[in-house]
Amino acid sequence: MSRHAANPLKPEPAVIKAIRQETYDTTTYTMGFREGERANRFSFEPGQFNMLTLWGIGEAAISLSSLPGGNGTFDHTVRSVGDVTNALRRLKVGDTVWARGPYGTPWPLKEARGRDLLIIAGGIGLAPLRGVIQAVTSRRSDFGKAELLYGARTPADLLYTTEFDDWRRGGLSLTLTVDAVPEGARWEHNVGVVTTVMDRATVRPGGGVVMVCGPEIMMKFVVKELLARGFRPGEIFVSLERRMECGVRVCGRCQFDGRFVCRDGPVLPYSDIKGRVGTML
Amino acid sequence: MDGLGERATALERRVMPEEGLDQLVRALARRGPVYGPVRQDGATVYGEVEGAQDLDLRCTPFTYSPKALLHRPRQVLFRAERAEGFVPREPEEDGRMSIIGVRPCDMSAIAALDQVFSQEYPDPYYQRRRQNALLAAVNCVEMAEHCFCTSMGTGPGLAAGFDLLLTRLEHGWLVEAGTEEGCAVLKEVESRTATDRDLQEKEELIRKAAAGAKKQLQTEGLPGLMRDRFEDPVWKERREECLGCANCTSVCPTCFCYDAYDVVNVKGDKVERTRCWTGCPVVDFARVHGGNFRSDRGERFKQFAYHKLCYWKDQFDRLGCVGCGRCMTWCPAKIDIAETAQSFRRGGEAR
Amino acid sequence: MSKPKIAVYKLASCSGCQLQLVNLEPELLDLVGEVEIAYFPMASRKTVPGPYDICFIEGSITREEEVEVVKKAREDCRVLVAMGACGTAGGPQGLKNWARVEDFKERVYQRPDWIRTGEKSLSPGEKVKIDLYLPGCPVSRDQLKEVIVAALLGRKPYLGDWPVCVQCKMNNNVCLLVASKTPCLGPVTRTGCGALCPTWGRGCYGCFGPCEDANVASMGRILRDLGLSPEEIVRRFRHVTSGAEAFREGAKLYEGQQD
Repeated sequence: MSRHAANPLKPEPAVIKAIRQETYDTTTYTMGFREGERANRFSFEPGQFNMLTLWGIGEAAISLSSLPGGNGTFDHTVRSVGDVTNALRRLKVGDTVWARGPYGTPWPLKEARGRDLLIIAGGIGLAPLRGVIQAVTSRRSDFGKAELLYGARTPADLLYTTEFDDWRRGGLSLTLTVDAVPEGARWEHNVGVVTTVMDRATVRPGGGVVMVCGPEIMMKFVVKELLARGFRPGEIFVSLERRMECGVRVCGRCQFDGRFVCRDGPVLPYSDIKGRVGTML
Repeated sequence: MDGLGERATALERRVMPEEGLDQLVRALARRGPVYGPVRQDGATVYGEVEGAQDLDLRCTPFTYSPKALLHRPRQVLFRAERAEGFVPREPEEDGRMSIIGVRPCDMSAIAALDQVFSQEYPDPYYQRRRQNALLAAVNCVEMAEHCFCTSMGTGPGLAAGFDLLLTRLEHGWLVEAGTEEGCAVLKEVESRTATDRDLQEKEELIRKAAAGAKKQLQTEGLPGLMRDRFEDPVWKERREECLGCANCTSVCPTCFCYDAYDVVNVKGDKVERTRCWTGCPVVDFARVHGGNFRSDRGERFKQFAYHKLCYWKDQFDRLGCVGCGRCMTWCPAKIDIAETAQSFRRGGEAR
Repeated sequence: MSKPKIAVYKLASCSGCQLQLVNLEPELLDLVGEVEIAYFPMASRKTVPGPYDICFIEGSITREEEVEVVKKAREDCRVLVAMGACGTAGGPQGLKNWARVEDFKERVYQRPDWIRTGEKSLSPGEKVKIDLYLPGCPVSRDQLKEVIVAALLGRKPYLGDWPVCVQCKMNNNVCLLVASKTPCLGPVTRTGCGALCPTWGRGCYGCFGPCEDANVASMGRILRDLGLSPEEIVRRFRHVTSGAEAFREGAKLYEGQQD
């Protein structure tokens, strides 16, 4: 056994540099580590996550929702559903959050290079994919087709709406859908779950990579549809979400079928999940 | 490990008289606290010992493992205070300790925990306790009712990994030292050089013990069979008896899962981030926002069985069960994982 | 910013749970610094009018007018915490739900005619919405403190609703049920007590009520194997948390059965 000086469970201080309210329950925080090398340069890849601590509240695994910022910043888009995520809402610019990471597997951006890319997201599931979209729209010529199918419960639940135009200008084709439109709300796109717009995708099997993120039940149906359209399990990537206490393959909470979502995932090719147990997929 | 302990790698082999055990405990005690199996409420648990009179080195079914000494049931990870800007401080390190009376199956379990806690991100809390621990193991010369170490290749004899290894001979104790530190301790104890006859006696005792194994689990190809027949109802049928009480995972010498939470004082300015044992039989274990991945009790028992007998193999190329039999001994509902696995095998043959 | 206001209401109960709040010494002074004890007749004559931020309600409803107390508490309080075995599952007085109240009066009191009580003992949750149940007989001081601290911090309290067994093993206790064949409800009872009784060699009597997904059928079979009669098993499941659904179910399995 090796003696390790660093304690992998020890978080470091990060300062909130900007806060943007995305929807009524979802907020994007731009943060940067306060000290050390990582204050200026924090490298990670889209799809990975950090463990965020608010002392006294607890610790939670939260996906990174951007590319690394030039000045060492990173984004977390958070929906307020748990203790840590609720407490984050009470913080202001300049407040400190404690973070450790990055952990887990990234989206296969390198594999997607030169090929078509189909992104299918549901609700908050767009957050871990935003970094992918930023990469694609800033280096558009590196990729073939780039299409996003994005579904949410209602128009008010859509994330990053102010960035949609930039994404379109960057060469991303966007198809939007919502499960329901409340009375009086304006909506000129599709109504229905995300599988109802899958025929609008022009990316074909064999031509590229599909990245899927959303509630597990949504991913289950999306994957089913993709397979029915001829996509191979190895072309489809999903991101799983589980309870985690450690993020470093010890606490056992995120285990499924002998794998640990925190380390073997969260991003996994469907071929690694197919036939395994402990997921809905 | 062959479980028969014949090829125990030792730097030194000596024989102490009966009274030597007491000298040995006292020699260890000069280095720090000594923990060993002690009688408590009709069972044997690990407690602090001062001399040989406190120890119960018999192999009986009602025992606890030394896991709690290395993977603490409750461990403060950090203390953070507002006055210090919540910069987390690690708790002070515990000093040197000895654990005496560790059985071969438990030595195998410690080797398993060593792997769990020293992956890509080694766990400093376990590692410190582990590195601070001198392990004085004891070979088993008898088998208890629920022992199936012979099936798992983890006992009744031990081959390696010990600082000291004791075997009760007819007259006295054979003590083998596996490390320099073990040798140093041995020097402080009255003893003579072991002879070939002593070693033959040890081998004979262990062989006899092994022959007395009452319980078997046929492990060959088991992980693969479990994968192939994942939907076999035998595991989930245990939901009728399973209490979901997590006694099995608590007493299991290789179960390591934990929960983490913050303990805060009333003023809200002092925080102790703490972790504590938990286990897959507990409902809360796999709960996430909006659901639970194992809400069925049968599923949860199955996760326990599959982790020990199937998934562990993928991750660490060995099984997570060491055949100590504690899960079934301490299960109030008497659920027997080995028996369940055997009936799973038989079910497959029947079909 | 004004300090959060705490109120403590009492229904039919022994006051043991309220007492735990007073027993929070040595942190009581700190607590008073963080919150205003606005309504707590047992500890202070001072009464500050509502609304209150956190309200603890102790006891069960055994008389009609207590329904009004409960409704008032609900109206006055942002977070309503029902505490104790009485507040969560009927308490010892809940036993009358399975018997004739007149029989109890006759046997317990010298002057039954002085006693004014209803036929049933109901937990406050049967009349109003309860935000948090804090079980135990009495409630645990640590859990009580955790509820207050968590409310101040704006998070959920970490209470742990797993079985007592988990805690018991963490304490390095020898399992009473297995080693000494002592009837113990630990496997089906929610922790929070720190496995108090088993740590002192007594079987758990279930005062925190059932844990999540309690397997009362298996527990009943185990108690039966230990030699308990059906009647004794019913009594154990009823005890002080007879109103709790899982224990009610457990009792039902053995009720009226012959030995």
